[in-house]
Amino acid sequence: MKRLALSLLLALTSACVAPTRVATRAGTDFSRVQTVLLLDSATASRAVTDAFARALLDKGYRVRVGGPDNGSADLWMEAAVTQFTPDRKYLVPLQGNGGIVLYPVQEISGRSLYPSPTAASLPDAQVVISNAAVSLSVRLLEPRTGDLLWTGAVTYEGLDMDAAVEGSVASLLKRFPLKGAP
Amino acid sequence: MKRLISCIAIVAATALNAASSDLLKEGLRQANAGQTDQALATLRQAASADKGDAAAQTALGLVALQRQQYAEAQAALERALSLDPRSETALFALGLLFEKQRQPGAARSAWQRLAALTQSSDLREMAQRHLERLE
Repeated sequence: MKRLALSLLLALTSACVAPTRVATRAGTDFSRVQTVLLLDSATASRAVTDAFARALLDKGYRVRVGGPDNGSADLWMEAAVTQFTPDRKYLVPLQGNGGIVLYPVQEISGRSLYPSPTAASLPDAQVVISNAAVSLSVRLLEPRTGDLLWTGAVTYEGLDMDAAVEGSVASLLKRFPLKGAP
Repeated sequence: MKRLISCIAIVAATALNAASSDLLKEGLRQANAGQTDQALATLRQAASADKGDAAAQTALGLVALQRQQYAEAQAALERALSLDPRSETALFALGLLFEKQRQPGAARSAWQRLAALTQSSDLREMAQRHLERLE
């Protein structure tokens, strides 16, 4: 019986596959935070800031959205989308008849799918997988001094952009220092 | 007589496999050309012509995913996985699909299997990151 096995080897950069990375300023007490100002950001989509706003509201915080100001919040939060790949494609090379194929799936960039230099080097290559990825970076800042209190970054893949955004936000919230308003 | 029947069965199976292989190639060509609607129809035929072909089931599952036919995609990918339990492609796609469908238990299972199976450190890290989020 013909067996045709497919396997994955994602040609991702190390940055793309790194786990969630966080850092906290030593000695920071987040337990007194009641109001968070989500800073308007040209580098974060509305979907991302809204997802964080929902999470903070769920935890009982007062949430404001806008530019930096003085005294309206206990904490500033700044989110940035550092990489936005709405349509990541993977090549799945298939052998003709017979034999076990252990060719990897390889990521290719752009929308010029086939023939492409990558595909041309792989006979019978076929593109059949696509998904989305979001790289997200978040900072929590002390409003008066601008001191960085906490930072986190993650890259997350999803079947589409909605799933990738949801996954990246959820991943960061897992490591979030704000556990609930007092 | 039995031998004749066996021979006919073998010839028929070979013909079916060849037909399935041609359909698979054509379906993938269509998918590659962005004709995913036609590709889906062709790959349904390929998967139906040879139900034991993990590649045809996988290809059907992946193109169904692209067409957002999630129930069909899940069924095809699970069939592919039953035929080829080491299919990292099927596990990867199912992990993403189950997350999209908000089935964290099933997604965890797919990512756990993938993390345990793969030889790729990049892919293992990716699976672990998804597992961390789904905990």
